[in-house]
Order: sequence, then C-alpha cells, then structure tokens
Amino acid sequence: MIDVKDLRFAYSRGPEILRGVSFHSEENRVISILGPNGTGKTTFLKCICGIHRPTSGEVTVDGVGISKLRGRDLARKIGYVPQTTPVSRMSVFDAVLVGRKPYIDWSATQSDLDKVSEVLEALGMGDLALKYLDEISGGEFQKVQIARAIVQEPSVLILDEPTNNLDIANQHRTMHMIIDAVRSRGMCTIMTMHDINLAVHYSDLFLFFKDGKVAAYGGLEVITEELIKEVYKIDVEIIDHRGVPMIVPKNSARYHLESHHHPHDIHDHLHGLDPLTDDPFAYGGLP
Amino acid sequence: MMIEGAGGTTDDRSVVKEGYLKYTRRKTLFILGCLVTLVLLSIYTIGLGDTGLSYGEIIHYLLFPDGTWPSTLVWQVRMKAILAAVLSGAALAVAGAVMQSILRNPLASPFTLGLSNAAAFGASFAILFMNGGYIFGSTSAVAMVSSPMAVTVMAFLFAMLATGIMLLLIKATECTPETIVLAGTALSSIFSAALAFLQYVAEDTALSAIVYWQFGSLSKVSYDELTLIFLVMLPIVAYFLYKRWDLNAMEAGEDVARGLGVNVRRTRIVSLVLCAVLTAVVVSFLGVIGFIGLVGPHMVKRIVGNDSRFVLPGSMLVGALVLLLSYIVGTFGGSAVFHTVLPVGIVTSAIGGPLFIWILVRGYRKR
Repeated sequence: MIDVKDLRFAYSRGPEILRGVSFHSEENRVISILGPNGTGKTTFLKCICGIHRPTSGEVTVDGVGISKLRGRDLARKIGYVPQTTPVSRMSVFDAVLVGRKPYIDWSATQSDLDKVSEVLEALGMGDLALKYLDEISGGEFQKVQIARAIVQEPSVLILDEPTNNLDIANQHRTMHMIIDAVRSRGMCTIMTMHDINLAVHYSDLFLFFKDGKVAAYGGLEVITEELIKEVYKIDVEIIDHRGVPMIVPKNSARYHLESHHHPHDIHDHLHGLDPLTDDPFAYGGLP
Repeated sequence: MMIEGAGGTTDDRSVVKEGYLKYTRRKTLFILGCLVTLVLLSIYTIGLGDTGLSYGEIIHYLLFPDGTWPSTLVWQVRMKAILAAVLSGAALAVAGAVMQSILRNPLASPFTLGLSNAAAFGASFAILFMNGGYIFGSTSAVAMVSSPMAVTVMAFLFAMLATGIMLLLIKATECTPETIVLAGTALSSIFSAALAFLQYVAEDTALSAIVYWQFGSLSKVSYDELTLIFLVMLPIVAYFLYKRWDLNAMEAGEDVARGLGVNVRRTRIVSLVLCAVLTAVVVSFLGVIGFIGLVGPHMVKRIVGNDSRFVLPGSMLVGALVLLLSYIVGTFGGSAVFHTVLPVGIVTSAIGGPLFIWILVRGYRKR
C-alpha cells in the first residue's frame, strides 16, 4: 500500500532534516507518528504528500512512485490536512466541496454534491452546511478540514496534529470520525500526534521519530518506558489500563510533592507553589 | 455563465444537498439581478440629459443604428462611454478579486503592484519628451493629449516594466504573498517619486496634460480601443473563470491547495501577470481609475462569501455598475452642480471611499 524507502530531505543549504526514513504499511491502517517537537515530523508528512521534494529516497503508493505523479493524479492518491488552515469566509459545504477538486473538470457534478452531503451528514454536520467557516467553533472547523480530505477519496490520508487545540470530547469525537472514515473506505492514515495517550487509543501502528530517523516502528508492543526515555528524554511509567497502556510521567508537581509531604498538605502546597523558586523541574523548567 | 449546483434532478436528494442547491440558487439570482440592473442602468444612462429621446426610441436606435443624429448620439456619445465604463469597471474589479484571492490580502487591488503609478509615469514621460500635450481652449483650460498613441503605448510599456521588475523580485525571493505586496508598495512609491519629479520640471502646458491624463476619463476612447480592451479581456477572464476552483482551493491555504493538486506558485505568477496586463490595458487607454478593483470584490464578498465561482462574475458586474454610476454622477451631476463634467477617476474615489467605509462599518451581512 504505502512504502517509504530511505527518505532524505534538507531545505536548500540547510542541515539534513530527514536522515533516511523507511517504513511500510498495508491498507486500512492508522499510523501515529510520535516524537518531540522539531524532529521533522511535519516535514516528513509534506514529503509524503509531495509538497516537499525529498533529496533522495522514494515514496510509493499502490505501487506507483509519487514523484512520477503530478497535480490531480497525486491528489487522488494522497489527501493532506495541515496543522493550521486559514479561516476564510466560505460556507462549510463549499469548503468541503473543494476536496472534490481533483475530480472536477469544469463544474461540480451532482455526484460531487452528493458525496459532500453524505460526508457532512455522516459526521453530523448537516446543520452547519450553510454556515460560514468564521461562524463555527474550532472543533467543527477541524472536522470540516478532515471532511474535505475524506471527499477527496485518497488511498492515503495524511493528518498533521488532527486534535490540536481541541477539548477532550472533541479530541475523541474527531478521532472516532477519522477511524470510521478510514475503516469504511480502506484508506491508510498517517498522522502526527503529540498526545501519546490519545494515539494509543486509535492507532494500529506507531512510528517514533528521533532526529530525523525512525527510532521504533510497530504495534503497541514497541511502546516501552525505555523507548519513551530515549525519544522524549523523560522518565515515564507505563500502566496497563483495561489492556491499553497509559503513559504517565514519573515527575510532576503532584507526584513530586506526594513523595515528600503528607497527603493533606498537597493542596496547600500546589496552590502556594512558586514555579520559579520552589520546584522548577515540576513545571518543565529549563534543563 | 458558470454557476454550479442549480438544476439537475435526483430522486434521493438529501436535505443537506437540497439546502445547498437553494443556497447556490440565491447567489445565482444575485448575479442575475446585478446583470439586469446593469442593462437597465445603461439604457437609463443613454436617455439622461437633453437628448429628447424616449426609451422606445433609444432601444430602436440601439438595435437599428441608421446614421441619423439621434442614432449617432446613442452610439457614438452615450453608448461608447457606457461600454467603456462597463468594460473597464469589470476588468479592474475582476483583477482585484483575483489578486485578493491569490495574495490572500484584502488590500490587494490592480494598483497594489505599483501599476498605476508606473503607467502614469510612462504617460507623463510621453507627454513631456515625446511631444505630448497642449492646452485646448482658454477658459475651460482642458488639456489635450496631442499624440494619444505615444502616451498610451508608453503608459502600457511602463506598467509592463513594473510587472517585469515584480517578476524578477518574485523569482529572487520565495514568492510569498507578503513579499509580492511589499515589493509592489515599494515599486509604487519609486514610480510615484519619478512622476512627482516629472511634474516638478514640467511646464504649465505639459503639467496640465499630465494631470488631465491621470484623472481617467471614459469619453476619450474610440470603438477600436474598446474592441482591443475587450479582446484582451476575453481570454484573461476565461482563464480566471477556468481557474476558479484553484482560487477556491487557495482560500484554504497554500498547503491545502498543493495537496489538492494546485500548482500554487505557477497559478500565482500567471494570474498576477494577467491581472497586470488587464490593468495596464485599461489604465493606458482610460487613465487612472482607482478604487473599483478594491471596492467591487469586497461588496460582492460581503454578499456571496469568498467563493470565486460567484465572486468573479459578481465583481465584474458590480465593478461595471459602480463605474457606470460614477460616470453618471460625474457627467450629469457634475454639469448640474459644477457646470463641468467631472472625470470619472475623481468620482470613483469620492463615492467609492464613503461606500467602502459604509460596507466595513455595516460588517458582514447575515444570510
């Protein structure tokens, strides 16, 4: 389905950002790309969907090298939702309809309109169809972006931080929506995630990035305390919660205090804590 | 016209699609309404003033020109100015709409690239050094351009020179909307300084001719020139309409547009050059007519949103309407109040400014 071989990338005259990334996935898989900020996750996504040209290496989708595809042919293979999208004064329906662009010759056909209606209805957004994008909430806006990529009907769906800036309910709703869309259409989804604990609930595969290279790739079994320590440089404990791993930090304001004080003091201490002097580490202070 | 979504039948139409079809039909109606208004206003304009013609006669002479005086009045005086207003208003407004879209900047207009100042500089240069102008009449002091061809050609050449410099700058940089707008502003002030210098050294006669040229006038064009403007406009507008989905994709940002298969850089550069050609042709024949390119698209966007499928034709019609209204105010209002015909370039800015502020204050129109 998707095959990435020894992908390398550097901005002109800059240092190499991707230093030989390889992985393979079958269809109907949800892959989370995890890793600290600035390790080239977004750059990697942009290389896969053809926005950046890799300096070497090749991405193959359904047996076709994407460097050989242009414009709409590429857009029919790979759909991309960037981390941020400008809000413009377009209706929700029109914003999603733009996703049909790779199939539209002169004007949108009835079937294009049907597909947009179907997706909006399936996502429970029928009521919003005629609202302008600047009139809806952040969670709804994010769903519009994903809906646009779904009507694009790509083989591979690429999402950059799909749950950024969403509250816990919207995070899970958005992830459910992505999973449903992927499962019913057999797409392969590759997304970057910051929240490992959210990723473990919705992904089949995990690809850990470190310094422009793959640190680990596989199912839940690759997520170990050692790997998290190696990739993120933080001590964590992995707890089994009804069969799903839960990654919790060993040090936090609460855990740190709990080991030194009586439980009933914790509230007073947390509230009176001066982040600069009392316990810089607990607040993520400078290393 | 390229309005999608209206018409067609399927049995199992969903509520969402049904609602959307109604919604697009309303937008189509708005565009048709503008078209009808434009036609009616044009016919009304022909009958304005002391023509002594009834509307029946006007329509008769429009359809069957016979070389008599009323027919000549209808076709050679009124209709020519009306066509000039409609064509140039539409051209400037569509250029503004496209530029606002590709540069993602609400302040973008045909003059953002420094074109008007460059063209004005070219025209002034021709007036000064290529045997340009003289003053016609002693009391009304109407400055005439004595070799209009040279002036037009120089205006066009300098507008294209500005565009060429712009392209070089784009090539040297990353072609972001910000650099384009900033480079345009810089070019604009360079040519504005050069223009001020020419005006400073010019003699009275030439200075009057320069100022007169800059005001913009709809009555100085010939039918041949109008045909030329039309022939330049036709393929460019067709290209923009063809690219309306690309423009819509670019509304969602550069990365989304690329992900949808749009060659963002090429679309941006080609569209910019075409906007420049469109503006240069209009400006070099008619003089500087400001504000239409800014106010036309914004009025339409307040009503139909940022959907290029409707913004492009809507802007053309509204731009034509605003310029035609300016012509009426300048010609008939001007004669009544100031006993002279006001150049349309002054009127557009004078009524365009308050109109624009009114649109801004009124805010977004609710559906």
